[in-house]
Amino acid sequence: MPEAIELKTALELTLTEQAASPVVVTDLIMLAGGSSQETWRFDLAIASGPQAGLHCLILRRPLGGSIFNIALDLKREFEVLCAAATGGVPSPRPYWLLQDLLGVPATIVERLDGESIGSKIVRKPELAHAREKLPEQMGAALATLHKVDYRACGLDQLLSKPAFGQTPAQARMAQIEAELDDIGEPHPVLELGLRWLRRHEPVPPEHLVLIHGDFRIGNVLVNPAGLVALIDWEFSHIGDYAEDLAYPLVREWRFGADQLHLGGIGQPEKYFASYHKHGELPVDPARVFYWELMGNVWWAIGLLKQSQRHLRGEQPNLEFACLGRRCSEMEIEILNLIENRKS
Amino acid sequence: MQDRPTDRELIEAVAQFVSEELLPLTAENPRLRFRSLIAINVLGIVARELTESEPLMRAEWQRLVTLFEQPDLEVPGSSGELRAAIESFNREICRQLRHDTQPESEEWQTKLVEHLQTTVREKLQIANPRFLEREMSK
Repeated sequence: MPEAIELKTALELTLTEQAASPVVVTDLIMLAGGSSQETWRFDLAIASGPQAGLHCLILRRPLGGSIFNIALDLKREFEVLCAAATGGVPSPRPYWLLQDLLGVPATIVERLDGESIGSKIVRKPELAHAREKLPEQMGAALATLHKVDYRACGLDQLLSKPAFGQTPAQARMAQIEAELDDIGEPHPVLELGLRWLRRHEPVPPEHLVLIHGDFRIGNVLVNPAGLVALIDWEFSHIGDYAEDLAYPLVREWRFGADQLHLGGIGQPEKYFASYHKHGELPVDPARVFYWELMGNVWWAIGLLKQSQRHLRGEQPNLEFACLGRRCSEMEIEILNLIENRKS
Repeated sequence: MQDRPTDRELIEAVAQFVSEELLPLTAENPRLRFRSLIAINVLGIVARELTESEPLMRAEWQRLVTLFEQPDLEVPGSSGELRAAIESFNREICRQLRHDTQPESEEWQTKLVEHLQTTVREKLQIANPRFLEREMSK
C-alpha cells in the first residue's frame, strides 16, 4: 500500500497529462471497504481547459484476489461503466483509466454522495422517503441498463457470456459447480439447490442483455430522494435479464428486514411494474423465483469463497474467515424456497 | 486432564478482555470496532461448539447411516474420525445429487430433505442461534 503522499505526487503527475492542465490533488484519503480493490477518495482542482474546476473523485487500485474467479479487472469494469453511463443508467461518471499508477492500473470515477451500506439503507429514518421511491427507481434503472446495446459498445468481446449452445442459467450453474469443486468441501444443500435448478430451468430469454451481476441494496447509492447511482460493476456479464431482476430479492440483501421481499425496503410489485414499463421485458414470477433461488446458491458460494481466501492464506482476515459459518443461513433459505415451491 | 481454567473459562476470559478492555478503545476506529465485535462473536461460536458439537455430530452420523441403510456401521470413536466419516457421507450425497443418481423414491427424497433441514438447523445452533430463533418463530 503506497503512502498517501507518494500516491498524491504520482496522481498529480499523471492527471496533469490527462487533463492537459496543471492540477492539484487534495484530501486524498483511503476508504475502508471493498474486498478486491483499494479505494481512495480525493478532490481534484483542474486549472484550465474544458474540465476546469473542482472534481470530487474516487480512485481504485487492484488489491489482487476477488470473491469470485469471474470478477472483472479494473479496465473491463471501467468499460462497462462507460457503456452504462452512455446508456443513461444512473451511475458514477467515469473519468480516466490509468494504465500505470505506481506500478498498477487504476481507474478514476466521479464521487457521488449517498449511502451504500445496506443495513443503513434499510433502517435509517432519514431514508424513509427514499425507501418508498426505490422500488420504482430500481426497476427503471435496471430496465435502462438492460436496454444498453452491449455489442455496439464492444462489450460482447470483453465480458463473459454463455458458451455457444449454453443457456445463461446453464452458464451460471457451470460456474457454481466449478467454484464448489474448487472449494473442495461437500455442501449437500447447495448440490440439492443445483439439482432443483437443473430440473426446473425455464425457457431461456430471446435476447441476452448486459447484466450488472450484483444488483441489490448495498450496491445502489441512495440519498434522501432515493436512488443516486448503481455502483460496484465488477461482476457484470452478458446474461438473462431475470438474473439481475431477481437478485435484490435474495434474503441476504434484505439486511434482516426479511418481510420486505425487495431488499428489505419494500414489496417487489412496484419494482416489477416499473421494470416492465421502462423496458417492456416480461416479468414472469416463475422465472424470477428461479433466479432468486439461483442467487441464494450463488451467494452461499460467495461466502465460502471469501472464507477460503483466509483459509488458503491468500488474504488472512478475521472478517472473511467467519463468512464460511454464514453459509448455513443461505442453506436454510434454499431449503425453504424449494419446500414452499412444492406445496 | 488439564488444570483450570477450562477451555470454556479461557474463552470467556478472552471475550471479557475484548469487550471490556479492547472495545472501549475503538471509538475512533470503526473498522477495528467492527472486528472486535466479530471476535467476540467468534468466541461465542467456539464456546458453543465445544459443548454442543459432539452430540450433534453423533446425531448427524446416526441419520446418515439410516439414510444409507448401513445400521451396522460402527460409530467412529474419536471426534476427528466422526467428522471424517460424516464428511465422506456428505461427499457421497453431493456426488449423487450432482450426477442425479440418488434413489428416486419419494420416501428417500423426503428423508434426505428432512436430514438436510435438521443438519442446517444444527449448524445454525452453533454459528448463529439468534438467526435460528428468528427462523423457527416464522
